[in-house]
Amino acid sequence: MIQPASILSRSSSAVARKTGSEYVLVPVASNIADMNSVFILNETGVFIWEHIDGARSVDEIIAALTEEYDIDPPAARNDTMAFIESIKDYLTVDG
Amino acid sequence: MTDNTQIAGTMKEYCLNIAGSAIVFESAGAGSHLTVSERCSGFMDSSSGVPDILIGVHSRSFSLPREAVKVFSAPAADGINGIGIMHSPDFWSIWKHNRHIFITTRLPLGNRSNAVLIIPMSGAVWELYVDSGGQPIDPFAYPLDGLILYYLTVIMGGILIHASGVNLNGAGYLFCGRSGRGKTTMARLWESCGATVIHDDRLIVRHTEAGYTMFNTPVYSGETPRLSPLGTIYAIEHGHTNTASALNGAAAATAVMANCIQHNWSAEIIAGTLSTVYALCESVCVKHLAFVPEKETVKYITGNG
Repeated sequence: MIQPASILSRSSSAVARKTGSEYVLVPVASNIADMNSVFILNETGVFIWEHIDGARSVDEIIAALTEEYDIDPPAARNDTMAFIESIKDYLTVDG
Repeated sequence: MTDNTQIAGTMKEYCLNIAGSAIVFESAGAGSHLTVSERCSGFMDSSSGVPDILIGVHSRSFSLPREAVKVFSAPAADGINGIGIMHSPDFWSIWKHNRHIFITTRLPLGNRSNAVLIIPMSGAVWELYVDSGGQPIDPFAYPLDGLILYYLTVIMGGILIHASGVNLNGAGYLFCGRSGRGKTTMARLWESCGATVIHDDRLIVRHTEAGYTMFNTPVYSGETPRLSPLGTIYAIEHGHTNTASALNGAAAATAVMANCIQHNWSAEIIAGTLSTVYALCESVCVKHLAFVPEKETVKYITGNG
């Protein structure tokens, strides 16, 4: 369960490729049936992905997003948690 | 559908030249003889250059190392050429041990032998073990053909893609999309307008001295090697009107990637495929195309649609 204080890291179960301001995220798969998920990260997704560094907590990432994009904290929390939920298989969680 | 009809006679060695790569199959034992299917006969190469890959073919079973770890598996398809094959979650599987990949499968056609293909992570000599019971071995039988071509293409820095490709007046167009999106329809449309169909199902794309080039692969009987420079890639779907729009960056890469054959069990393989696809998309125009199945579509596209 990912909590506000959880520290997130990118796992080795996905490969990310950055070009310009865009990221493509391709999961490592063990079966052909698993290979339909390729993620293109939007601007907010890129920001969150780049702040998932094994040092920042979820709350710290939300605070950074709030400051960077001048959006209200509830919206930043919703965006962050929705994004993290969509890529949780490619993260490791501490705490 | 893969054609498995065999040509008459057996050999101790032969070479297939596919997408500019020379694949030599060599019998590795006194008792094993090789056959070649009709669909591959047009790709046989009698020149004696250095092979890109040498595959030693053994007529016996092979036991995987006990330490080998399964990293990928593919379920059985429903059938090939109307011949049902067993349903199994492991139609073919990939195992890894030290610096070798082991691919295990049971050949669904012919004498239904078990096969193990061994690919070193580096080096151009592969081994194939088939427990054929003394019968001649087709070392490029389904599904070995696609597996050999996939890993050869990865090594050569190309992509193996579900697509149709055509050449009209020297310009090459590639149409990719999921099953039912119109790849074969598009190939027939262009053929009716005088284009050469490079292939309507499975192509290899790689960079050559002449730039990005698409090549056919042996799927149907009677085919011979065909190639074309590649100018534009279209991610297609049926539509009510012809509408094309350019794709760039990640959208272009994922449109191509989604149609590439991929065994994404290794971060190294994924990173390599991403690099290949991004480099391709930086050199070749990629567009989304909704199209109607009419000859006018060819004019629309050649008019820079």
